[in-house]
Amino acid sequence: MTLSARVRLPQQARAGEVVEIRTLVSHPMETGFRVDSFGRRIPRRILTRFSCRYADRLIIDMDLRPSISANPYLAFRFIADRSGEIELRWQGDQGEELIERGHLEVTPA
Amino acid sequence: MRHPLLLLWLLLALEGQAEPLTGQVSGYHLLGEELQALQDDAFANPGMLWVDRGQRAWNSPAGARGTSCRDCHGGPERMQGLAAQLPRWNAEDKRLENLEGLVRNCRSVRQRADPPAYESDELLALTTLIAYQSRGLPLTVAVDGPAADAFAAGRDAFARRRGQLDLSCADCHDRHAGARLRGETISAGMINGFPLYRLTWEGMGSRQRMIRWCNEAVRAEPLQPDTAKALALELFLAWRSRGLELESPAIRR
Amino acid sequence: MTAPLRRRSLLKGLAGSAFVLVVPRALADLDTRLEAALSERFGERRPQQGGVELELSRLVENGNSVAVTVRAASGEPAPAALHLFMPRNPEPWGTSFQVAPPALAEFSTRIRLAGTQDVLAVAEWADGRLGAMAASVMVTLGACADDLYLEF
Ligand code: HEC
Ligand code: HEC
Repeated sequence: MTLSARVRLPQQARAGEVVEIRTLVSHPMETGFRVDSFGRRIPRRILTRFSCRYADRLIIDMDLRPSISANPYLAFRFIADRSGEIELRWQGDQGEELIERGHLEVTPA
Repeated sequence: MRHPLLLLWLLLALEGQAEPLTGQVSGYHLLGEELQALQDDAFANPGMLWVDRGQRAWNSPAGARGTSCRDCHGGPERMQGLAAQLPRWNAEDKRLENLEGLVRNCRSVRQRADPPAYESDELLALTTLIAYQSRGLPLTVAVDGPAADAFAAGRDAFARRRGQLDLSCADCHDRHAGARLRGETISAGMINGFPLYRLTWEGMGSRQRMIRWCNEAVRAEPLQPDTAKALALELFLAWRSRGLELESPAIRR
Repeated sequence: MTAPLRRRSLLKGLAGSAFVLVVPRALADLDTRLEAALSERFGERRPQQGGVELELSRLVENGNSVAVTVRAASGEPAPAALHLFMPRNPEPWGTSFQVAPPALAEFSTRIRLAGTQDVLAVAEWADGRLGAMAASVMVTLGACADDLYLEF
């Protein structure tokens, strides 16, 4: 299936509030260890990297390996400290790339 | 010959009828808490990736006339109820039609585009989107009148022993439903979850993919998805699952 | 639904008790297959017990998709990275999660487990210190078990 993501991004928060990002992305995460019904090895094809930038700071940088399930799910949290753009980026070993963006508006506590 | 022998060994290892399953029991109830939670999670259920993709395909113009499903049908919610009533008898063509067949047919005849292949993500995206509109509705299929003969054929196919292993669908899903087969509990073989995400497949599959998978398991002749025989079996399975709520996209092991 | 209630509650009860019930393992008897993976990541450094929490089911229904949460233990300074290792998988190094404030040192994902094993989470601090927690997971149906069961 073509690379596509479901993301749940926070849009508004109070300064100091802990907010969560949830992501689900379509990718087979083919391990390279499996064989098809004709006994041929299915070539490896995985997402290798996920990163998150928030208000111009790299806050998450994650290596992904074949032990991550197909259609990778990831959730993490951060403290909303200022308004800014959120950018999520997935990169694969076939040169594929997917970027999702959103804006978080932070109001004083 | 490795596989059949292995299966026989597995069957011998059946850990008895601890608590037999009777009547209509959704495969959902055989899932552990974690997988039930995954099915119920409207965000993280991986089947929702196909619903999303189906939504995009629904709105995209295609074919010689550049029309989208939306142009003719409106929103996908207009399909509510449909998936719970399939397969059904088509009086004009004098055959059963299921969800995959209806979508492929509309795609080629009305939209004038290439029909997506069976079990392709493209087709599963559209069928899952349509089935999702009926989530929570009880399965009800018509098995009388013109569908009666097909229904009888399906009932017969379910009970008939087949393949090198000489096992029928009923041997496992009726007589051994609820029994343990090496760590796995054999379900009652209900089809209220389809199209569904099977962890074993790491992807989605239709009712017909499941039927084929089980059929292969007993080393029987392959069943082509759009043949009268396969559709009759699907009709019987839908009737066996009658009253169960449609769960698509369900999660199964 | 027409499910027999007795059975449903029985299954729920069983599953419920297995969920988030983790048996921590002493780091002393860690799987030897980890050595290479740990050396590759950490050189000579080896983790001490503690500083990180690992949450997953003790009993897993299908190794193709196992929910897991890793987080820094409360009361610790925030680590710079969290790592996950699955010693019995073909590639024991599962993932590394580099994290900087204001992100919290915590993530949830779904992993593959090729069979019953002791999953290891490692926290790594900026000064090079390592902390770890291992958990025993029983897998009834392993990832990559295709020819054993999936195709009979
Ligand atoms: C050119 C117009 C047109 C387009 C484009 C079109 N359809 Fe249809 N479709 C129809 C008509 C007309 C029928 C038959 C009348 C009815 O049942 O609504 C139909 C019937 C169906 C049915 C059976 C509905 C039922 O209740 O029996 C399905 C399912 C369906 N279409 C799906 C799709 C999908 C999915 C697409 C896009 C890939 C699509 N159609 C595109 C006109 C169209
Ligand atoms: C050797 C035993 C065996 C036989 C024979 C067998 N199946 Fe299955 N079937 C299974 C197993 C194992 C599964 C996966 C786990 C489960 O749901 O029981 C399954 C699953 C299913 C499911 C999906 C259930 C759900 O909850 O999603 C359906 C539908 C099904 N089988 C139909 C059939 C049909 C139709 C036949 C005859 C062609 C058949 N089975 C023959 C063992 C068998």
